[in-house]
Amino acid sequence: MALIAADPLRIIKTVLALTISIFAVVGIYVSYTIVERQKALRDVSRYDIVWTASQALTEFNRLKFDVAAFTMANTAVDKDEVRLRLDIMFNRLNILRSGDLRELAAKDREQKTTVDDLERVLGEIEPVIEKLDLPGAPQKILARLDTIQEKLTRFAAAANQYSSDQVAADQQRLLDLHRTFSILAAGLFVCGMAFIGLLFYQNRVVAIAHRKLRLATDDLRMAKEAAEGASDAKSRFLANMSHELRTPLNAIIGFSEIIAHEALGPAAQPKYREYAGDILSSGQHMYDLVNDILTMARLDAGHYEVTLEPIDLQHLVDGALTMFKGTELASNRDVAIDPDGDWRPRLRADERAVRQILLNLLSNAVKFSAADTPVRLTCRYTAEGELHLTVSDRGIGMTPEEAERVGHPFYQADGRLARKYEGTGLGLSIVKGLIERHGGRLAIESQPGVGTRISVIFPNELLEEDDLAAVA
Amino acid sequence: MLNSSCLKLIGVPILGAFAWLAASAAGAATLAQPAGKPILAISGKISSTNDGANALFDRAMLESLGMTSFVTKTPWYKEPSKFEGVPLEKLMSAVGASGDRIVVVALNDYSAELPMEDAKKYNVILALKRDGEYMGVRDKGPLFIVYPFDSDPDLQTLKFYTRSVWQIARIEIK
Repeated sequence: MALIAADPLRIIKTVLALTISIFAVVGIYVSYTIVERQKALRDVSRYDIVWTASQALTEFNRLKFDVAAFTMANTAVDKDEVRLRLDIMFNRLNILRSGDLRELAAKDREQKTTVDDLERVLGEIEPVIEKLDLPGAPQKILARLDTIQEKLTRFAAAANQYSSDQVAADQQRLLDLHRTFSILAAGLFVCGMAFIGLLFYQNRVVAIAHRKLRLATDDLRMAKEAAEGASDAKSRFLANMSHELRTPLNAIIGFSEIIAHEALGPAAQPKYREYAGDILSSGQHMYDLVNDILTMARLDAGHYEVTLEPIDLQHLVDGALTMFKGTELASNRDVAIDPDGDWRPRLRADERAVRQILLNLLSNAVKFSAADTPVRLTCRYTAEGELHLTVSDRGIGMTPEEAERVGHPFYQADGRLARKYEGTGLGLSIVKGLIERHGGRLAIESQPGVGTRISVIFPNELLEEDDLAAVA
Repeated sequence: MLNSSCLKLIGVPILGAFAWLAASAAGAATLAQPAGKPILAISGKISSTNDGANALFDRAMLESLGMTSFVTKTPWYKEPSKFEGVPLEKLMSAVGASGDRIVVVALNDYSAELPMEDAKKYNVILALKRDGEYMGVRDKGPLFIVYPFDSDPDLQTLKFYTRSVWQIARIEIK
């Protein structure tokens, strides 16, 4: 399901990224165009060629007029005035040389020569104006100016035409720009719509995936509930069966004990007593197994209730050790309390559970170690205020992997050992379950061939006030 | 548009008061006569004159009003130029100008109108020199209205370029 959803999502993401990139590129292009256009507008010459040409023509005529007026009697025009007009003419010539003229001249060679001719003529009449008072000088100037008059008029017309062409070109550029922008806007609109469409599509894909996920979650939850229900039923069945099994076992154990101990009189044959003894030990073993299964089933089903009451740990440990030493398993074994242990603590715990923990740990230690090796029981605090109750042996030990699995029900570290060390394989699971019921945990340190140390760790909440003070 | 007319409305009384102060300082006096050839004639609403209703200035008279200078780029020259001349504001107070518009007329009779407040607001000068040299008619002389374009981007528009009249022959105060 996730795989099916991943492909369209990747495509959508790619297309979205592409769309955004297109937007960015178009945006950059538009800004660039606008900036360029703005620059073009700003760079536009201050000297409009039409203006300059008409100015030149007007000033040319004023110069001619002033020179002609100079010759008349009672004239107001003096040499300074004529000189000023010539200077203005030179100014217009300079302006013609700058600005758009170069472009106009590039198109129309004749106009370039007109400007050159004008400059030449102005240069020729400049010294003559200084001698304007001399007879014939004004006429000479006027004759020189006449040679250029017609060309200058044509120049003004050409400038006019050039300017119109420029305006037409500008209009065309503007139209082109408008078309470009229209296409871009349409493109952006399409991109935008695609973008929105894709977002909708993506939403839908995500929604479908979400719904599928929710359905799958529901399936999983139902499966889990079913499994838990089945497990509960199994545990209840085991608890009930164990209980039911104990009743006939009690009868078997009780009556075989009477026969074995010849309580009602000696058996007719010594073999009967021997057989009754076998029935008794088998029955007791089976009773223990049923008890283990019952405890495990209760722990598993969460029906094992612990009652936390202040207990005298040392007294309890002494009692459990004595009880253990009385069993066949512990006969001729060196099992003892470590004298270096710190046995002060008074603990709040379930007495029955702690006793079972101790018996299970001790019997495991004895089972999985050689007859001539010692088993030790000790007690200590940690800096965190926890209480470690530890049973150590020098037995066959376990690898870390085995130690990891050993807390699982029905597990014995080595399947082959099960035949040698008989048992349900529930011992450590029960210990683990019981200590966890106390809010504590199980810790296993073991090395194959060296030995095993198993500790049950009680949390410091379970230590009595006095003992905490003693630790501090 | 709205903004500039508002400025005008506010500007009128302030400038009126300013002109009155200038006029009383000059005592409605007559200006000195130009010793050299006059290069500028100011007419219109002025209180200080030296030629009938006009005020004539030669180069020395203008320079004696106090020169100032700045460097700026302009549309007319490729490189930035240093312009040196009389602040328009000083010239206006020298003639006791009381109008709100300055009409500047060029040698070719081209004319442009400046609001009086420009003189105060922008440090506009009536330039005589460019890059240390007196401007002749063949350049943009003898007088050239120059705004300090580089000091304010608002000035770098056609509106102010049009007000920057060159080859100035006379000024009318309206």
